[in-house]
Amino acid sequence: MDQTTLDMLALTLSQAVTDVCSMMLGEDVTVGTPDVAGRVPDHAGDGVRGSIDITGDFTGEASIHLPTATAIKLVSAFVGVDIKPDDEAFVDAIGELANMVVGSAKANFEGLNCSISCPTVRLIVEASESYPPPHLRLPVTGESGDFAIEVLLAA
Amino acid sequence: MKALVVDDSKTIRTIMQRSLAPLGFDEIVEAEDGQQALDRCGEGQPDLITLDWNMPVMNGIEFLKAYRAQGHKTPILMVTTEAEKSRVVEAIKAGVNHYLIKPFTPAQLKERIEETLQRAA
Repeated sequence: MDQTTLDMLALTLSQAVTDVCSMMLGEDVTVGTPDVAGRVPDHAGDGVRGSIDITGDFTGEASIHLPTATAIKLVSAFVGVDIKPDDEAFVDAIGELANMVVGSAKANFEGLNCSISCPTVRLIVEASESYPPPHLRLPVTGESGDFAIEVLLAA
Repeated sequence: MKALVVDDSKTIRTIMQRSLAPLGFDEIVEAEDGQQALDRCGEGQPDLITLDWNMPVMNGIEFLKAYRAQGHKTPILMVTTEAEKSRVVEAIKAGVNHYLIKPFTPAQLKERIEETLQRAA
């Protein structure tokens, strides 16, 4: 993927996560400078990841990756009640957040022809399960805590 | 009034329920996919359907075509992340009355539900 496409991807994902948090959660967030080199985030061993497979002009996976404490706060704001991470409704909410962020970015990425999958959600409990360093990582800061949007491109 | 909420996400179904109840919908039925929605409609026609696009088993467009082919006129609001113009046109041609793109604010959802009912009146 060339630099222009990566920049455009970062821009559309930044706008998408800002819109989703503002409109669906009532929370204003700030998206930091994209890390295009990629690195494993600090909370890799403790958190929740909602992922969407992408196929088409490029193939890979886009994720919302949250520390558990942040995820609990955001799900509460989303659903309107407190839900524990082992509840099926918690997993559903994280998956829907991922779906909205990636779907919204896809819609705003002019000229990109891609399809996205139904979301899958993983609870990350051990550092050994951590993700390979993503190709693009957007740090997000909000009242509920920090989290990240990550894109892993297929080789 | 009776509403049918069709979405594979329980979270979205909960949000829909919360928005529909204050608008006078005292009976809200849920379906996780298009096939379940067709089955629910067999138990009695709703006054409004909110419909997701991407769902397993039977997606929103497939449901829409099958439902309209049965001759039902119930107003349908499609609520989806599918935002491309071609998708909106496809949905309208298949018989959807109105369209709302996720994400949305509670005010946008309320407004779109009311407009959907007005358009069908």
